[in-house]
Amino acid sequence: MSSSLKQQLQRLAGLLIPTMLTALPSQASAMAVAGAAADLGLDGIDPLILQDPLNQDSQNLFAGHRSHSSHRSHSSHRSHSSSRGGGYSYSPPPPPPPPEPVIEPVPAAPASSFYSAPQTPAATALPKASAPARTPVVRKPETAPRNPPKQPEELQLLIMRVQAALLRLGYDPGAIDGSMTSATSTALWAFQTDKGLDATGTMTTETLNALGVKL
Amino acid sequence: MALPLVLKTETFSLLGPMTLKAVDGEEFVRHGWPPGRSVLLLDAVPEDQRSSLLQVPWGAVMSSKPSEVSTAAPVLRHPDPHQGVRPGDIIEVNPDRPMLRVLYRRGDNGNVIFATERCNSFCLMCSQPPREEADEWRVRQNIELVDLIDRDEPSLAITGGEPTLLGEGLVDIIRACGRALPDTDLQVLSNGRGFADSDLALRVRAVSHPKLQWNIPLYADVSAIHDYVVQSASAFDQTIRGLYKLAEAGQRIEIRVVLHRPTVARLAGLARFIYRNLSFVRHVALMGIEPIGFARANHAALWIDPVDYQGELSEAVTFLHGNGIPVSLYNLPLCVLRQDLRAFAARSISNWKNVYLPACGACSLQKRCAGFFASIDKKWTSHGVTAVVSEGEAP
Repeated sequence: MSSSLKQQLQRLAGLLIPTMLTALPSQASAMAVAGAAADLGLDGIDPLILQDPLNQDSQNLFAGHRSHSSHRSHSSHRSHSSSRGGGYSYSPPPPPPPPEPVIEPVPAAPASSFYSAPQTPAATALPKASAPARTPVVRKPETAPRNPPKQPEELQLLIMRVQAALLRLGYDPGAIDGSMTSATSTALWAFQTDKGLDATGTMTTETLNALGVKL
Repeated sequence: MALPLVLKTETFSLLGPMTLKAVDGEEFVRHGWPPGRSVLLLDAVPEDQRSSLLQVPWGAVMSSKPSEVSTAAPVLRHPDPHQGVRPGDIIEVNPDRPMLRVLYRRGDNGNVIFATERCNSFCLMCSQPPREEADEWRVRQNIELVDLIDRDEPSLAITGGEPTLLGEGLVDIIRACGRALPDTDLQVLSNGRGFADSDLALRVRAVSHPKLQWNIPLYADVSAIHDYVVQSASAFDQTIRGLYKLAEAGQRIEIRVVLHRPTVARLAGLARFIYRNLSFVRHVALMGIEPIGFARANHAALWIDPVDYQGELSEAVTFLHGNGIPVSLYNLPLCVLRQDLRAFAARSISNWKNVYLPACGACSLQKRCAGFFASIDKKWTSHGVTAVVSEGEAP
């Protein structure tokens, strides 16, 4: 082996060493996040066409959310067993965590087949784990995997989207600030009434569908 | 014609570089991209809704009248042409430059994750000549980018430069893709050398990306030609050993051969070599040359008119196909291909650099023809280019 090549390899190796410093979230907790985020389901939808029902496969953990002034420490946003108002849109609890994915050696294609877009053997298909947009990335050791996902932030974002949707449709949700204010709740109620939906003043799944908000 | 990827803009109170998802009201409502990582396209918002929507803490706001926007967020001038940035696109802006770069175009077939400018080869026909750079920032930017890419994006390519030079950074990017975009085909364009003497293949395997494929070039069945084409001693040896490491790690592999004078010479031998020694590959792509970058400087060494290598091409394709190795022809117009080869041709050129020539107007095959790279000129045009006005062609 030439010495220059050796140097090159050593440089390469040097690049690879930081691996060990990188905190890997365990497979298990990654799966847990995937399970908890079960189908934020942002896939396969033409952004321009409103498909109905929009959130058929999603769980709406926000349906029971009513108007109040503060959003800190609302652990109850997560509690699907709670019977707070809006239990109407209650969906079943998350499915059990999927089995460990396995990559199988790929069999040679049959002689007659033309190549087409790479196919994944069924065994390798990972469950749909649409990670939340800010999935922690391994680089920073201080970023612990979020388990469960931070609800208050997600709730705030969802309320903002609902407020923006109401605004677009001519209802007045008040400020677009991510707070379920009485103005927002009233606008929701008015929207639901106009659409013939259950008038709850909350973000039920059918209301989100009608507003074009994808969970 | 495709939209440009670099557009003029002007930035106001932008403090540092940002990667941003372009949204209008509808995009925000429907997909809920984090506002802090989005740029609101204000021109697309009805006027009576603007002040309300500006209450959202956007990462930035884009308007063709930036001075009239009242917001605490950074403001960007909406570039001309107005369609240059559309909802769903991802842009990069930097306060040091009056330009924005479109990193991702919704709906385009050629979206890439650009891993690095660095490379350990120096190919005669390199379309993207390498450059030394400190590229750690690219890992972070690419991971941010992946988070903002549409979840229903059908396919992405990681390219460079040589992506494996990022080492663990590449593994991080692949992991991010697997998490955020598990349904997106991910192809990495790599020379494979970095796998030969490292455990990189095993670390990639550990990520278990469900739809990952490695596209690895091999230019001959003998080292002399391959090493000459990539202008690097021992490259053939490293690539072959890298291919075995990848195969051992259960990775899906495509072999890519750029067709030019040095590679055409032993094309049939290469096909036999792949069948005997690399029978695990999923696909072989035989590709026309892109006349850009180093290729232009090496025209004399590289150019051979495709009509003049149809014999060699047919032998290689027939052999691979006949032995059960899927094979495709990329970047070659149908008119220069022998009839028996046309079924193997694919429309492979990314939209944004895909053109057709005046002769193509009258051609009955244009719809399924790869056409040409936008960088084509007379020196790089086959004498065989002609409108095919045929009846007997199966569509």
